[in-house]
Amino acid sequence: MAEPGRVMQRNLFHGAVRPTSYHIVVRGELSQRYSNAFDGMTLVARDGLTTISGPVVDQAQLHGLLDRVGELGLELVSVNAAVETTPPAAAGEQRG
Amino acid sequence: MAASASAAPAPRPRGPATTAGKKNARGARLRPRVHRPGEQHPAAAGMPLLASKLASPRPPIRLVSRPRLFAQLDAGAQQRLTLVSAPAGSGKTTLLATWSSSGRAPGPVAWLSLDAGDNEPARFWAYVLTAICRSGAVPAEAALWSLAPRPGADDTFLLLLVGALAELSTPVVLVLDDVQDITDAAVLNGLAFLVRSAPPQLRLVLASRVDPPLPLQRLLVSGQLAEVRSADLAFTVAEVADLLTDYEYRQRLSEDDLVILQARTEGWAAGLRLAAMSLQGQPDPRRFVAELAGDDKSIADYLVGEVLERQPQELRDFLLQTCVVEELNGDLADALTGGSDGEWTLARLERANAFVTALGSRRGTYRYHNLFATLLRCELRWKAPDQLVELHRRAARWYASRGRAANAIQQALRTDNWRDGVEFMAEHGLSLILRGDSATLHDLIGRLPADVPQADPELALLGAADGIVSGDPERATASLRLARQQEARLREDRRDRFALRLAAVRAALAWQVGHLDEALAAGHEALALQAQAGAGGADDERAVTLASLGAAELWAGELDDAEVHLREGQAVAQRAGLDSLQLACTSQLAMLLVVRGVLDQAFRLGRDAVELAERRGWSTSTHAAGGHLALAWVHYDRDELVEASHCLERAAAVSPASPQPLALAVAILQARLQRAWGDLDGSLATVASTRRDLTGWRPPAHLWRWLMLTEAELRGAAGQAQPASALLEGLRDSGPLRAWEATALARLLLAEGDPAAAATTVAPCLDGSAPGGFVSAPAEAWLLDALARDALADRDQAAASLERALTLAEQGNFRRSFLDAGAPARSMLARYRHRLPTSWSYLDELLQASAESARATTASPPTLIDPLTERERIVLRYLPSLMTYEEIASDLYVSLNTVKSHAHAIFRKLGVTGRRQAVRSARNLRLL
Repeated sequence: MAEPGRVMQRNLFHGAVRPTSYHIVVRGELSQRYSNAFDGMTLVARDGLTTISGPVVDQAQLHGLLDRVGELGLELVSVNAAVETTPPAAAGEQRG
Repeated sequence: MAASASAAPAPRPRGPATTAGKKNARGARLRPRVHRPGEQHPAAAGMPLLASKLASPRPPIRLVSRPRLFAQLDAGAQQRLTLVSAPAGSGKTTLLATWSSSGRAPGPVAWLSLDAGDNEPARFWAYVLTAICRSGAVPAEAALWSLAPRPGADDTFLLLLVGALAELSTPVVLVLDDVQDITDAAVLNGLAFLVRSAPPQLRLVLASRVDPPLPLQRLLVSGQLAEVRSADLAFTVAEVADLLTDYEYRQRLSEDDLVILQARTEGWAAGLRLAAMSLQGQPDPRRFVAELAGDDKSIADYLVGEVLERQPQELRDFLLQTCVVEELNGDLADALTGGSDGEWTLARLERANAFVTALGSRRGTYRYHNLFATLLRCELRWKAPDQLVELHRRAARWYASRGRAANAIQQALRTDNWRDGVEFMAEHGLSLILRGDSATLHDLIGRLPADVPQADPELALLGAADGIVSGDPERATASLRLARQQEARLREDRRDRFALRLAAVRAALAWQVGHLDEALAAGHEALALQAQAGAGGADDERAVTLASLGAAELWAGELDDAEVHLREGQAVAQRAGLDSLQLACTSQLAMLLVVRGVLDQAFRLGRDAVELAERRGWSTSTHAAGGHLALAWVHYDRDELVEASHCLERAAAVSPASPQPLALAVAILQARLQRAWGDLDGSLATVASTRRDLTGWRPPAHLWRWLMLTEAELRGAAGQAQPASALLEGLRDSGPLRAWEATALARLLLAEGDPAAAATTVAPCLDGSAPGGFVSAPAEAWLLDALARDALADRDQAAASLERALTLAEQGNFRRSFLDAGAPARSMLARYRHRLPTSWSYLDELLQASAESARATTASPPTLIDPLTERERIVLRYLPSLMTYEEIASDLYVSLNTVKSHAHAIFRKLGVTGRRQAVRSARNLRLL
């Protein structure tokens, strides 16, 4: 209660995690046309794949992005959270 | 669409209201309404239902025949559920639309295209009902036509829906397209319930981009689920050939090219359609295929770019400007583009099988294929982001000018243009809320900056209306206070409308919380403001006002005004398609007739109200309470106690709780019924607890006196009478006696053995000089006069009064007073029988009923001579179960011997020898 920020960090499964970077990879090289569809994300097209990367505030936003992938008829290849540089102790605490 | 609001509730062959009443329930039999196929379901009266969502898209003109998929769907439709689950652009909708119109389905097909706006149970189920009813599978008199979910639809509705579906004689196929857009837990739960519990008549077909969170696994295991997935939907090489067959470039492509095309698109329908369009006008189609295959670009991205580039500038602009809306016709297209050839362009696009699909039932209505719409909107945001706000604004204006407020608001919100959204809401919000669409208001408020709703008096007022409709008077009160605080911020030209709505909403809220004075004042204020504003429009405000004012007048004892206002309210609500207010007015009118003692008419109206409520699935809504109570009262007066108890239970079980005057009337009838059942202690306890519950609400004087007199009468019957003269003094202090108060007092005086005073007291009721109602039967006054005259040995006058009493009573089959008067009345009826010129048959019926009722209360008193102890009652409750005495003992944490000795005591007191007899006897005595 006293410190909402900390509470948010702990609620890993309830979607209120601290902003994390994600890489969403879809098949096919996307043009600028799609940059608006993934507002605030960076699109990098290479080798027949496009990586959509950027900060994601919570699980709801992540799912929204994945919905968008589906809506546009794109084939999802992978979703990865960018490796965080937080100390191991802090990372362990998050999962607790 | 207002025309579909039910005017004439059809009689139903079953239901508690019609089984009773016997010969006296001869209400006018009204013909059932005939519904036309294609008509909007009454559940949706006023709700902004988009016709395009209910129309199966027309199959494309260049149709690829896909018999293998048809066979899968045919087999699926023999089962409960078919799931078509595949990514965007896989051709799900086209396949289902083609199959639906092929006539292969096992019954009529109901089509519903879902979207994110359907995440509100009332709206979702209104669409589902409309879709099913329009499909042609539902006969005109079927229960499905009249069901209607209430906002915050409850489980009752779903049970009624399943029941109504089970009555269908043919299967109906319900296709729900775009199920992935449904994310609301309540809607999903309802849908899951339907999947689990639907009768075999319903064949569900769900199309979704992702597997929906429904209990599918069980169906799959039990072989009740058919699936069509993306591998099934992928085009084969042969189907690719079929798709391209009509294009002139087809001859220039080899079989190998087709194989390459199929492989590059992986049979993805949207990719292939785009490729087919791109190939048109290519100087070298083979080379285009080769380039496509060698390219690493995303196929849709690449092809959309290709296709758009090949279109003339004008058409490209048309596509980008019109893709912002879901449903499109020529007129709306023109409004968006500023052009004049929208209709022609759309028809041309459909013929070219490009981007749009026509909607089956309505000529000239189109939708973009989902994926294309999404891609076009991406293109628009990319190429001309500055146009976006303006386009949505044009769409919103177009909807608003056609009275489609919810759509207008949705369009405004699409670009966070909340200023327009608030404008439209202020204009049309009340109308939406009264028709069950509170969701649009919630959507809007959720999107506004936090300080806006706080500062906007019109939104606050709508919040109050929403609070009233959803049974949350506290929220309504807070919003109303806010609305009045912010009133000064209103623009000059909005003041009149606001004042009128404010008064109407105040009246409604005041009635709901039982503040009769405030309801009367606000109601009259609203009427005066309406009179100033002149005729025309404002039916919604008028219906709200009349329903609340009429109800308040009724319970304030102003019966004549109440009748005028309730009758007009009923008519206005019906004309405006406001079913729930029509129900409210009908219910209160039924109670008004009870109060006037006109039993036949009261019964008829009460039944109308209850039937309307039942058909809509609103039996437990507060608006139905008056109807249930009116029926209960009529049954009580006619000595049909079982039916009376049943109706009263339903009146008491409404949610949210009834306004206090109504709740008080329920409690008073409850006490009287208990007495009629012979449970005098229970009836006194009911009165006492009612009195306790009244703290915090000050009833109008006459309602207070009603409760007091009821209590006095019950105490008299229990032998703890307070002298009538003392009561009389107390009552005279608070105003002149109303007719019913006079009769109640006369009854007490007779019981005290003072017939002269009784005759004097009742006299003003006979010549009509006593102020009318509340809950009095004219027959009763004459009966009391007859009893008094008889006791005074004035036999001629007694005979004349008795004759009047019998004539009046027979009209409504009124029996209560004759039975309550007990032995003296019985004796008088028997003695005067030969002196009366008419009514012998009715008199004999009364005599018999009175004798029976006397026997019933003496022969089997519901309380035992040697009553059961608390412990014995607890043990008694276990006796109907299959538990052994040992099990009962362990359940109660007592010894086996204790249970046995309690059981034997119970047997002794009930005069039986065994457990089974004891259960039967206890049930007869209402101990179980």
